[in-house]
Amino acid sequence: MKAVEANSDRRVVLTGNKAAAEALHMARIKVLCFFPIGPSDEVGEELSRMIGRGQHDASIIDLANERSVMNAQLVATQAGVRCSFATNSEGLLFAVQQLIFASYARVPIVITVAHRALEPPAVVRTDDMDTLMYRDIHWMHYHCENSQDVFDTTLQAYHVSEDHEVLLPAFVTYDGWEVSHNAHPVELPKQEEVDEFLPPWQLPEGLDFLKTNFAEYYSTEHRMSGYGYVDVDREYMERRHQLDQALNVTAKAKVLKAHEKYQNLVGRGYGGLMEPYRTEDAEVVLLTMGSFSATARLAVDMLREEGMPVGLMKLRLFRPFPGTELVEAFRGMKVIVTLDRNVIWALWSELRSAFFGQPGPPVILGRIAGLGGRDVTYYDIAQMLEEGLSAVAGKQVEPQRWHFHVSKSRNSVPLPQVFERGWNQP
Amino acid sequence: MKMVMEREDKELFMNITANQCPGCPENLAAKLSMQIVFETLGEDQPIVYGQGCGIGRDFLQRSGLGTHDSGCAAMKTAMAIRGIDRPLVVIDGDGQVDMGLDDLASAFQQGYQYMHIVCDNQGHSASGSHATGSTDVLARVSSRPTGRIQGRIQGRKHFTFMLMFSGANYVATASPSHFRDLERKIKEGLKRLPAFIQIMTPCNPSWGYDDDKGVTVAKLAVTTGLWPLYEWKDGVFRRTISVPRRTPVEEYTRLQRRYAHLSREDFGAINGYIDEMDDLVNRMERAFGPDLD
Repeated sequence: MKAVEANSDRRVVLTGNKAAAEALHMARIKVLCFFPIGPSDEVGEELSRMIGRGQHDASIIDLANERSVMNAQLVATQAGVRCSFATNSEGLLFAVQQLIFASYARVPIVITVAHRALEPPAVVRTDDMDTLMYRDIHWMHYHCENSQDVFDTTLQAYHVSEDHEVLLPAFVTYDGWEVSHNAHPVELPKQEEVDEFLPPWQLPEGLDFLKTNFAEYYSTEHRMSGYGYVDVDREYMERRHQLDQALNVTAKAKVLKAHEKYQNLVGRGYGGLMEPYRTEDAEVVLLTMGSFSATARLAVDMLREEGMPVGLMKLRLFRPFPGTELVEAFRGMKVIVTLDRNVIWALWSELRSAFFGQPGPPVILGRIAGLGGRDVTYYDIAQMLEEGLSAVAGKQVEPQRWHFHVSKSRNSVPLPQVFERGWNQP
Repeated sequence: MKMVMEREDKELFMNITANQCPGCPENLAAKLSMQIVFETLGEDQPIVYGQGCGIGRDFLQRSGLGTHDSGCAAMKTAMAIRGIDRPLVVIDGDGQVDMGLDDLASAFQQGYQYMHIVCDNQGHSASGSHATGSTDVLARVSSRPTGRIQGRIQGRKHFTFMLMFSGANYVATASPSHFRDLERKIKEGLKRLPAFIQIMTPCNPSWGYDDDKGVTVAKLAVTTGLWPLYEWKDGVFRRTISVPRRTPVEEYTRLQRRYAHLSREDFGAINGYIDEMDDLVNRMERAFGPDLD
């Protein structure tokens, strides 16, 4: 994060969840959709405490399960009020029909997700799979590094999603426990600044069904369009094309615009789609998302002190994926190491696709680490960067590797017991 | 009140078409209900929406399947926030209720002020006549080729009895064959929200009767005792159409292909089921009926 001079007089210490709740409070959400699941639940708890104290004015909808609650969020958003919902892992699985309806019907809901690994085996700790498995349904995916990032990104997510040219749902995600339950300093903007940045949610022209005269509507040839309806005009394919353009063209531009606007207002920025760190004249760059970036900065500093040409690229937005922008940013670099916290090599495969057919592409090494909340220290990341440097020197390096162990120093490589026991043993 | 088909402005509710089968009783029930709602509350500009096989789908689809009740909860919340006060009625099929029973139960328990009308054709009729929770005893549907469930004879799920003790202020069963009764129930329900009305609507293709026999079949369901008509109003349970002499169930079943597989013993079982249901309604009336003293 760039240290830009602060013009705020409110500096507080908040966990990631509480920062999200504070952002939703300042976004003046009118409906809190609430269903419990850890580690995201604290967002709703904190907001409902604010409502109880009379500090925040909103209605609470708590129905039978995540599907009901996310459905209420969908309908209330279409009825013209801004809503919030925080859930993760199995909660998202419960509501998957609503997830797809939201993007395909262009309903701009925002869901804050503190990542939690999917079961079985049951764990409560973090990895990215719970939202990354929805990378193909045209949601926007923001990945946040710390509480400040969570706070700022939540406001920006509403700003971009509710733009009438975008109208797309968004996940604002951060690592469960590592970010959600760790306290970080957060600078809060003034409420007037937030109000200026984020005016109330306005429905597009002609889509306010709470104002429709239904007796007339059902008696004429009039046909409701825009949101979910039967494809009588055979325009499904055109709708999907619009959706794709909205995500990959319009939303990308709007994210940059929103980021710039917010930066001018608050004096704090994250580079828009991605944030480089010491990448000038670097030969090996690590590409990662979320709280890994904070650890990676230490590793980069450590290696830079030893004179090694390494850097970090923190991806802020996984969808829309800034492929061409990354290709441009990595031009002239020799090795890129992607660090994924998911089993699908998401960053590795996306980056390779982006580089396909480009002249003189770098070597792209894929690394998976930290699944189910396993610790990743800066020694681990330093080791990955050093592997990249060996590749630059022409040595043979594994192109894809699962990084299981936790390094407590530069040379320790203990293997976990599971290899001796077999995968299905307790 | 003139019924839809007797009116001069036949275009009323013309949008409520889903390429139904000719003489679809579900479509009839939905149109009747909408007519009653709009004529009763016309001044208040009611919001009426829903989805179902005979109800139509070009009908304000706001979210996924089986989610109308959480949608209604959200709409009422949004209306309160925006200062809009319009009555809300949702009309859907029994499949929706079955899939969204969790939504229905919690929205009623939490007292959201709306009316839910179910046009119950006892199956997922638009999708190959699959069974739902309210499929009748021993009826043959595509997922129950023998009419039995795991080899057993089982009755249907009573949404009405579930909701009576879960926060509903008005619950009733109705039939398109008993129009005045239906009209009165919808009007009573609109005064006592949350209200739930289950209308039994036969289905030509999945029940397998002649297209012109829809209302006849619906009427026979009432007179044989298979579909008792009752209401739950202000904590009082009352049979609204009494059937002193029941029509033999054979007259009902022989009109329908879905009962063609019945044996003599099966008729015994159906008659036993009717007796049980009659007894249940009588006992409910004795326990929660109007005070006659």
